[in-house]
Amino acid sequence: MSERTDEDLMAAYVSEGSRAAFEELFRRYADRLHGLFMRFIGSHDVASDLVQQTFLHFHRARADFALGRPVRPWLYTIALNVRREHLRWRSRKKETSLDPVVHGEPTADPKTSTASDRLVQRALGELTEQQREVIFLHYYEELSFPEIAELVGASLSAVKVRAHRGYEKLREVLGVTPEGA
Amino acid sequence: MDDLTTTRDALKSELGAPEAGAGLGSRDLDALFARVAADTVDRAPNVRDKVRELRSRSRVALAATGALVVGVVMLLLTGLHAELGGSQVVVRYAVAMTGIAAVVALMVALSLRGLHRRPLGPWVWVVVGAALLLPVVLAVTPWVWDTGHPAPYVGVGVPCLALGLVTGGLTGAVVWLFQRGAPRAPWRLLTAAAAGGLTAFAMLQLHCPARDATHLLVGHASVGLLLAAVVGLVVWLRARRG
Repeated sequence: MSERTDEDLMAAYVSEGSRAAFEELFRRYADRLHGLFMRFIGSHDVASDLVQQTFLHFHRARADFALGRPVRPWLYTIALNVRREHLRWRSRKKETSLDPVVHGEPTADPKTSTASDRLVQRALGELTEQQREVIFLHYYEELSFPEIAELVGASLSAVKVRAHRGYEKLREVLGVTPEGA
Repeated sequence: MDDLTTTRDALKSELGAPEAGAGLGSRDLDALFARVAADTVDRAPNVRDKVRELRSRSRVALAATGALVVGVVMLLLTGLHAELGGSQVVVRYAVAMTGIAAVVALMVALSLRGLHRRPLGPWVWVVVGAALLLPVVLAVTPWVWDTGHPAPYVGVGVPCLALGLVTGGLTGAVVWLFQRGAPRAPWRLLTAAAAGGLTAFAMLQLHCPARDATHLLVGHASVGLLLAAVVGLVVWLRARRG
């Protein structure tokens, strides 16, 4: 039997209130979102809390979902907004703190990440917040630029400029030369 | 494939595929789903759950109507002032009230904006600031409220301020009731405060015949700013407590 699409599950969840469909969507995306939040924030507990917040808003906003539209960008938009509001809150809480978790700088768990992953994470810390967000979504989540533009609320060209500058900076920091150079 | 995707793939092959991260084990995932389900699909919705799970358009319409109802009820309880006569005065008041109502509706829409929508840029702070200051600007443009009758002396305006704080507070509470629970964004609360301040100002202008600048600034126009100060204090205290 073929696997149900996200959109089928969303239709069952929104129209019929199917708990099973909600749970299936949760199981498809919770781990990915947790990984995304971990890369941004670096705390397992905070990442879990943000996943919980994301699905809470996903549930409360389900009446606004237009059936037939793709689920993934919709869910990621909620997740990124939850993260933004969390970071604003944290930075307000301890504006003088140097804790990277508080400031939303990317961190990698030394016990679970590879050396190159840690290197990339450190290099990402050199980027601006806007560049970092775009690189995270493109490099790790492999979203397309139109999808990213939709998620971050910027034009396609602005997103591509951010990505271009971000990758240039990454290559510079990591000492990786462009192909053919 | 575009150049940037080629760059990404080149970086990945140079550095090795990115680590998937520790991830959530199946027990963590089960525990997290249990927590999420307890707040969502396994919970019998109460009245607040029901109103904040409505479509955003409905929430905005209901909350804006709620703000109108608060203003009208307060006006019915306190009464219109007697100098509202003459077609020119009525037209001027109607235009001013329509403009204020439009800004209240905008504030409600911003306050209730869903997290599934694109993020707003920094301009939202300019809009919220302008809405909070609008009653002050209107208070120092007395020709808008000129009724052609001599204005009575009504003091500095402390009773009006108290009445305005009740009206504004109730309006802010109505807007908050329809929020989906994102208290970590202060601009959502500040927009609710601005809606409260504007509703209170409109109600007081219809109730009180004063045209003295001090009275208007203290008694009628400061409600939104005071509510915003309360929001700022609450946000600061919550941030300190964590």
